[in-house]
Order: sequence, then structure tokens, then C-alpha cells
Amino acid sequence: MGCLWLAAAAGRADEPPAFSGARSFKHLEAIAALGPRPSGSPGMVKQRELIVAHFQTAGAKVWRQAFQIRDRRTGQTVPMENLIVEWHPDRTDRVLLGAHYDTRPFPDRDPVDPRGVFLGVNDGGSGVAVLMELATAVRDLPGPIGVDFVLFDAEEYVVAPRDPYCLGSNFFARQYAAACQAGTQPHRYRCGVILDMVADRDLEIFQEQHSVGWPDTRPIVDDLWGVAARLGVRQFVPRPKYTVEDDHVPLRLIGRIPTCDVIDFDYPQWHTTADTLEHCSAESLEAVGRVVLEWLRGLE
Amino acid sequence: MDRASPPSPKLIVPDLGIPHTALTLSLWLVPEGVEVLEGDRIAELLTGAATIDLEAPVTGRLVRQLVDEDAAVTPGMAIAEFEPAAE
Repeated sequence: MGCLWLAAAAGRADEPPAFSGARSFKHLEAIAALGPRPSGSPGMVKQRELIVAHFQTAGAKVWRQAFQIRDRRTGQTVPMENLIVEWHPDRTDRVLLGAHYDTRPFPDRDPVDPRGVFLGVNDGGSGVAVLMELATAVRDLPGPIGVDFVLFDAEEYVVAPRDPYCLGSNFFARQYAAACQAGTQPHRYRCGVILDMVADRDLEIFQEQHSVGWPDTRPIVDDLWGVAARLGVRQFVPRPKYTVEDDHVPLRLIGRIPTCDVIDFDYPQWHTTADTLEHCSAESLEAVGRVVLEWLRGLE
Repeated sequence: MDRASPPSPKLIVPDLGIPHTALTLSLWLVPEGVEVLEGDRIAELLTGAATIDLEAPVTGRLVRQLVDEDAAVTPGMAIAEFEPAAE
């Protein structure tokens, strides 16, 4: 055991890169320092530049998929961008890892200040922080699988009860489906995984009900939770609990990409002003990052 | 003996495999009386997270919308009637 620890600590050249929760948490701190990041806001613009620079420096090709929506309150158009971070573009057998990177405009479940400041450190920041830390390992991923990170805008550009969710992933899925139908899509996604709210200090990730119920996503769930069991990552709880309407739904229903949702929905700070760094941890980010990375390395 | 007319083709809400999720007919894209081609987008169905296009089942005329916009709908429910084009 001592020898293994020393090798890992020294970062031996023949070892594949490990996922560091500490580094991922640093990314989360940098994102949180930008303040609120709802779609179309100055905070979102700053975050986008940070993310694009990070992944380009790490060696990825980054595509900006622009679209716009009309704000139902003001009638004004709001510019949006999904970011597609492409690793090993020559590999045609591809996997999608996704996360939304916008934050909710208001903390509308906050019992005291529902129109206050919503930082969205866990809900909006955590999936991005995991993907940022995964960059190095995915860049060096051997084997036939190519990976795209897709950062979705407007997962929750929701200011009124009837506003629709997941606008970015709906747009992405429509474009993808249309390109597949037209024969212009250069590759197909074998499957996808969405990471959302994965930094909770008290992390417990139950299996999401849609992901368990769909026959083409159930194997992804089984594989991910199987990897977690093998690694001894106790934060992945191997039983279903919540049904969540997240970005995996349009990816599967519209894009026909079998996609499961990895989400901890037991988060008391959800959509409140208390979704802040102090309720998140590096250990939680590391748990998720290790499982996803090991799962990717096991794909054939 | 009278010839029985065949039932008019209907647009049926599909089973999307998302039980426990409310479905809403969010938008009619084609008004009543308009000619459509099979596969044309007729309406939008909103799940919690996805907006799904519903397509015309036949080429012909959309005779009647059976539900209003913003109505709750369920899989298997008929939401529009069509008169097929004469062959």
C-alpha cells in the first residue's frame, strides 16, 4: 500500500492522470468568484471566456453553438451558447459528457429572499468543475472512444412558473437529430452522461428514475454504479429515488442519444441563496470524477 | 346496407417512456382547415424538460383540434382529426 501511495503522490510518468478533487474544487471556486451566471448575463459571458480558455489550453477544440431565445418578460432576445469541447475529433465512436453551466436567475425557493442573489455553486457550477478537471485525463485517454464535453446554456432560464427548462439541450438535440437525418452528422454518440449538482458536501447520488427506466440507459446506470462499487465510492447509492427533468431527457427523446443523469437531488440549499461553496466539497467532486473517469477508461 | 366510413385519422399523443411526467400540448403550429403533408410538424408537446414535435400522421387536412393550447394530455389521447387527401 505504501508503495502505491508513494507512486501516486509522485505522479509517476507511466500512470494515467488521476482525478483531483482539490483541483476540481479550485475550478469551482473560480466559477463561484464570477458571481451569478444566468443566461445572457455579464457573469455568463465571463464564465464562458474562462471555460473556453481552459479547454483550449488543455488541447481541446471548442465549438460555440449559438442560439437565442425571447425573454417572455421583456420581449428582448437573449443570446445563448452551448459549448462543445471536442477531444480526439478523429475518433468516430463518441461519448457525450454534459453539464449545464447557467444558473437560475433567482433563488425562488429561498424562504427569506426569493428574489435575492443566486450563486448556483452546486447547481450550475459543479458539473463544469468536474469537466474542467477531467480535461487532462480525457486528453490522454487511450483507446477508440472520443469524448465531447457539452456545456448547456439555459437549463434553467426560468423566471416564471411556466417557463420551459433545458433550452440549450433541446437546441443541441434538435441540431444533432436534424444532422443525423440529413446524413451530415460526422459521428454518432454511443451514449451520454449528464452531471448536475454533484458537489454537495453530503453527497448521495441515487439512480435517477428515467435513467433506470429507459432500456437503453439502464446499462449506463448499471455500469456507472458498478464502477463506483468497485472503487468503493459510497456516494453512489445503488437504488432509484427521484425522477428528474434534466438535460438527459431532450438528449434521449429528441437526439436519440441514450443519456443518463447523475444528480444528487437531496440538497437542502437547492434554488436558495445558500447554494454556496461552504455546502460543497472537494471530496464529493473527486468521488464523481473518479467514477466517470474509470467508467470512460473501461469503455471498449 | 350503408357503407361504413372509415374512422378519420387522428393525431395521438405518443408514449414517450416518461411516466409520472406531466405532458402539455404547448403550441399548435397548424390551424384547423389547413392542408398538411404526412410528417409535417403539427404541434409541440412539452414534457418537463423537452419540447417534442408532433407530426401529421397522414397527408390531408387538419379538420379539428381536439384540445386547447396549454391543456394537459396523456399518452394515447387523440388531439387532432384529419381528413385524408383523396388518392
